Amino acid sequence: MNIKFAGKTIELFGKELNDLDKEVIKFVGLLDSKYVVVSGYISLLFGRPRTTEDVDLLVQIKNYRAFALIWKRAYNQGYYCLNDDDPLEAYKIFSEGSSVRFAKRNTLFPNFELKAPKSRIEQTALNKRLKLRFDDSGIFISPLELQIAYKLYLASDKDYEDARYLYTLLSQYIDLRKLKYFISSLGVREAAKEILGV
Amino acid sequence: MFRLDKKLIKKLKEEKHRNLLGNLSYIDLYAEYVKKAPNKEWSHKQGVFINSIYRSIPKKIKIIRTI
Repeated sequence: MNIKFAGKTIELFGKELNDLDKEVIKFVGLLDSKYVVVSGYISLLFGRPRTTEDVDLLVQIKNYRAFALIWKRAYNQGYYCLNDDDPLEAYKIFSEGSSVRFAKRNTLFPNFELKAPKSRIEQTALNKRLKLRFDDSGIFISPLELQIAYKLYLASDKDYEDARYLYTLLSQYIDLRKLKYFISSLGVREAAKEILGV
Repeated sequence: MFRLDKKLIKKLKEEKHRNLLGNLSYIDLYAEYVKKAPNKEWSHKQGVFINSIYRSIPKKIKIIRTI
C-alpha cells in the first residue's frame, strides 16, 4: 500500500475506486455541512474485502433549512429517504438523535445513514476528522485511533476483525498514545489486549 | 426440542471464540498482502469483488412503509 500521512491528510493515490467508493463520494458531495465517515466503510476504504449495507455518516446540520437543502439535492440526484417521504418528519427523527437513511430510489442498499453527533466521542470524530485523498477526489474520515477503539467498543466479531485489520495494516502510522486514550475512554482495555495486543 | 445446558453453551462459546481467532489470523495475512501490494493491485482485486455484489442488487425494490 502506498500511503502518505501529512498532518490531517492521508494520501491514497492510485487506488482504483470501486462502485461503492464512487457512490459514497457522490453522496457526500451533496452534503453542504460538516461530515465525517465512521465505522465499517473505513476498513473497506483501506482494502478489506467485504461489503456493507450502510455507510455511517456523522453530519452537523444546523437547522431544518440546511436539512431541507440536502434533502432537495438528494432527491434531485435520485435518492430517497427510507424513513419518511416528508422532510420535516425526517428532520424530527434526525434532530431527536436517531439516524435517517438515504438510498438510490428503488433500492435499499447501500444506504447512507446520517446521524447528528451527540456524544463527546462523536464530536471528537467530527472535529478531528482526516481528509482521505484519492487521485481526483477525497472524503473525510474519522481519526484511525478513534475508529479502531470504537470498533472494539461495538464488539461484534465483524467489528473486532475491522479493528484488527486497520491496526495491523496501519500500525506504523497509528499514534499508540492516542489509541490507548480512546481505548481507556471507551472502557475496552481487555478487548484491546486480546484483539490488538496493546 | 433440545435444551441448551450450561456445558453445551460453554462449548459453543469456546467454539465461537476459536472461530474468531481463526478469522483474525486470516485478517493478518490479508493485511500483510495489502501492505506490500501496490494500490492499483489490491484495489483492483477488491473492486472486482465489491462491484460484483453491488451490481447484482435488485434495482426495482418497491418500498411500502407501514405505520
